[in-house]
Amino acid sequence: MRPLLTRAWRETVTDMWLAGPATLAMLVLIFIPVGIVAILSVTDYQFGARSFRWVGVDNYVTLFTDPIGRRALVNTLIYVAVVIPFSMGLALAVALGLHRLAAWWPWLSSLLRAAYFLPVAATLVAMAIAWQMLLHPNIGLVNSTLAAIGLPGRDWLSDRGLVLYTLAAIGIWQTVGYNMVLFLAGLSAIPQHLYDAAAVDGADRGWDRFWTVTWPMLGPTTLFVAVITATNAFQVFETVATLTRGGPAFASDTLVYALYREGFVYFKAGYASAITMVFFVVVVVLTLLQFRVLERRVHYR
Amino acid sequence: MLELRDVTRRFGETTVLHGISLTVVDGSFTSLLGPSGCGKSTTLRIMAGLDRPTAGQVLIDNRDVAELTAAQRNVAMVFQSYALYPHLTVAQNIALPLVMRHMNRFERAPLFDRILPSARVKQAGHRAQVGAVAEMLGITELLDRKPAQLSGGQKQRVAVGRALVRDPSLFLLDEPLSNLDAKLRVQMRGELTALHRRTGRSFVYVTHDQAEAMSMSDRIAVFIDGRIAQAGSPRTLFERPVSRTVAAFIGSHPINLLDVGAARGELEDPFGGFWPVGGEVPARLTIGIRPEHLSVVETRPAFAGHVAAIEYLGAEMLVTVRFPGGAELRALAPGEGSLPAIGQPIGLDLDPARAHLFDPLSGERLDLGLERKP
Repeated sequence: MRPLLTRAWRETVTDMWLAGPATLAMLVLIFIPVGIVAILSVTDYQFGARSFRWVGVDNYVTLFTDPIGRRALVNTLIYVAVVIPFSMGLALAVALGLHRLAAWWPWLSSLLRAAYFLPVAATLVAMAIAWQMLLHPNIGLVNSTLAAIGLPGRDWLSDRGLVLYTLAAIGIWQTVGYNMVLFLAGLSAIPQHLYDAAAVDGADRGWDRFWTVTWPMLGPTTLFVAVITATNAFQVFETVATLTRGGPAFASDTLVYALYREGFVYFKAGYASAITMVFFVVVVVLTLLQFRVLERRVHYR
Repeated sequence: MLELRDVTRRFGETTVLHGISLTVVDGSFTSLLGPSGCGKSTTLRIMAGLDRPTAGQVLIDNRDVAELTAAQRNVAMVFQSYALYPHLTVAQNIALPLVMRHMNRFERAPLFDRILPSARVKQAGHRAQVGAVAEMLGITELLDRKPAQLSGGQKQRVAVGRALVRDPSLFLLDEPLSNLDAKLRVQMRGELTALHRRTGRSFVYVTHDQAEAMSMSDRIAVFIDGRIAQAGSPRTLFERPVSRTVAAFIGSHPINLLDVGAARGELEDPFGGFWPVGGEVPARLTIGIRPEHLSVVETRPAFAGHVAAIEYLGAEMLVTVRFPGGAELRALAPGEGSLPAIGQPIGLDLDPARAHLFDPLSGERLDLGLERKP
């Protein structure tokens, strides 16, 4: 009996079955919403309003020129610039230490690894309450410890010059564990024979070993960690929302918190959409950067 | 001169090396030969200083080097996986031992290495040395490439170049040819022995391939289960193996090992035509005969049986002869001759001086010989 369809057609139908649902889901859940947000970002639409006006790039102009919008942008950049190096540096140091420790004292190494990973697994909102108590100006553990060693306490969350860095410190605390796990995986993938060769060649002490073998071989991991950390840092929201609400006086306002406030408190959907688009572009650029550089430089071809 | 004295290495509960003693004479090519897991690579790592013995001493020129690192011992090592630094060019890979030895931390630091006059002078010297080594190994045109762009044989040469560049007193090679294809392996064998002759340095070569060890070395230490079963020249190992394990390991065709009764000085078949001579004969013997030492004859054979199988190898033929009792012997016959068909009778002859007699229980060589009955 002759089949109903030719072979080429049957294969096309199979392809559609396999790729179709995922493509459709991506279209409905990602591309169409992004399109809608992009359209909304050039209007003055407000939630619940029956009509809207086209305002062109006004929303974007506001974001980049209005003091509050600029503040959110600059704060976010400062936050990212602080979190990336410290979070990565600490994570690498911890990973190197734990990797070394695992050879001598495996159970202590895995215990510490779990401890460092705990902030990643824990709910940040719940952890924020713990931080709030620790950082309380009068009864907080941080200030009492400082007082015990004779240093003056600070208003960690209400000092305008300090609050952003306090939040950055919490952000670092939260991401070190995750980055550490990534670095540990990278470290365990470095072949032992390279360290042997380095030892025979004279790069046998810690620093030389690190620069000759460990650091270059961690290249792909480091880049991956940098992009992941940057993407996460740009999205900082929970600590801002629970600890400071962007205050005092917008000193800790960030991009995503501003987006939340404009969109869900003031219902300015058009302006919130513009912020979303800026955020979206940043994430896309970071992702492209990761793919490009990861493909080319870091595999040593 | 490198000397190991009673070197023992334990990893937790398992003992990998049981009191190894070995001397590597200056300028010699010594192979450590054995099956995988016999401790030969561990021995090499202990010589290099990458691993430390649990007990025993390592001496270089009669000096205990236990406290010296691998670099301080001035040994060079070539690894099975080549262990080239993937982010450095071939030239940088070869120059690394020089950089580490001759340049201080300042001169090595990025940027400073371009500014400091002393760094530039040293770098120029290194470039000349790297160039000379590269020319010797025929890899001059590869100097600007990264290891990922090289073939296996080229990586091998770069690894040798990195070992060669700082003129070490001892070369340690850990199965350097095992990742190459068969043809290239034979070619690299010749290049390595030529290199050995040219440098005049001692080479210690780890391999599991007896053909490599036999063809390249002037001394072989056979490792079995963490002990040196026998150390000697390739000829000694081939002609007078001290045990049946060594006899079975050496030789390109596996040796025939037959367990036969020897009650009242009379050997069981198929050795009925021979007497054991030279001392007191135990009740049972293991007789080892290499296929090379059996020949196919038509008249007055020492062994008469039937052809069980023939393997044609080109230059020669490996014929398996089965005897009435079920015992089998493999013999080599010239490739151009003709042999009886399978199942047909065939006769073999043996030069009795070439037979090895072992104790069947301990496997050790017995100081006995065979003699053909008149």
